[in-house]
Amino acid sequence: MSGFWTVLYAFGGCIGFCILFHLRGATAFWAALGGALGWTVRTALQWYGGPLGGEIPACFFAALAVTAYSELLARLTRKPVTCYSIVGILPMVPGGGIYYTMRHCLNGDIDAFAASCLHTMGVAGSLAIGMLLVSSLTRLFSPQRRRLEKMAAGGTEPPAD
Amino acid sequence: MDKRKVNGAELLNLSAQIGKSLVENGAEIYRVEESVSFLLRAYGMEDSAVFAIPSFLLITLGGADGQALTKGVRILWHTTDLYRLDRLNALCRWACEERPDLPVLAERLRLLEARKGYPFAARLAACGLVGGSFAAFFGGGWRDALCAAAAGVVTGLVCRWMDRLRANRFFRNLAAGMLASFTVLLLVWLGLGVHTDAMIIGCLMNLVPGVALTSFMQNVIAGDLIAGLTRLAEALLIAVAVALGTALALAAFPWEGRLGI
Repeated sequence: MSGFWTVLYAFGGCIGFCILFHLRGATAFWAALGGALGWTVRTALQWYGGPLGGEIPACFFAALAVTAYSELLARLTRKPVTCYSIVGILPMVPGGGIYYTMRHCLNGDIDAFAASCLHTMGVAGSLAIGMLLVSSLTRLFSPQRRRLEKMAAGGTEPPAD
Repeated sequence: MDKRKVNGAELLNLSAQIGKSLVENGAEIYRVEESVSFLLRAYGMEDSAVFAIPSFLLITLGGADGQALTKGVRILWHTTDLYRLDRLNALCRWACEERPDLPVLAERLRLLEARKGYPFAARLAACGLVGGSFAAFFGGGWRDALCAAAAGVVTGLVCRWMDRLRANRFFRNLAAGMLASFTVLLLVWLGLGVHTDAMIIGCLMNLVPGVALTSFMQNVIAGDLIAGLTRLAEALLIAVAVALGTALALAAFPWEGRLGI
């Protein structure tokens, strides 16, 4: 199934990104798995169709999944969330969108250019909002917040993650 | 250990160094400010203030005799070294828990900074891996993947060259996008690849502003709008630069009708 292969390629690409960001060993593996997970969620939603089948909603839910995964793994491995979330989001960042927008502009097809440009920004925006929602919720309920409150009251606690 | 008085200046210099490192390696602003604050408090500096934006860090310690000690550090370059970021984070956590002597902490920091990441050759290979994987991802065959891998390596080389020349971010991405696309077009013209679109996009995935986008959102979530909006502007500029570079290559490449674009 071609869908499966794209997940594998996404994983491979994410391993490449892990090296570029100097991640090592198990961390690199888990981070790349996050990227594959995001792409799986997105492909599954698009394949399933329905109201969530468009690219923008699919990317939104994929971003939710990836960020939730990153937050979970960050707590389990006691590493910063950034390690996992940057790599996980990268396969979904609309490189294709940027390219096709530019191509339409070069061809002089302004309608297609405008549509593609808005779509690309929509995808990027949906990724950002997905990250925003999950990260905000986790920060709301994390022990970090309680520690900060204790700190403000005069204790000295180490940072949470 | 808690009762021992620490040398304020030494602590200030050390915490400034740690904070600067954190910003340089891609930490979120809230993480920088909190890590340094916690560190200062752990050493007994109750009255301290830390301010960070992506290009400047300011730390102030309130002295016991009313004299404030302040240090401002300018931060000139950024990279995304997640391993070093993780190690710095762990160092801060350890320092807050153990409260070692400052020379010990300084030595650990020095060792951390001295440790090199992956060598350049490995990172070039990774650029190639990214290009090849994403070319296949976007529908290319194995030949296209290899060509995109080669173009990915070119991207890595151009970026390194631009960094050596200290070119600004916009130009760096423009040049990289242009030369990478040019490589792809050349390889297609030579008959080595077929799906030009898949190859160029695969290779461009090296340059897309994923880091800037993620950073933007994480900073906005934490309420650091200055850093967040800086990153958003950076993401938009990078995207435009890459698109422009690719457009230049596509427009300038001497068509011979073989490309069929």
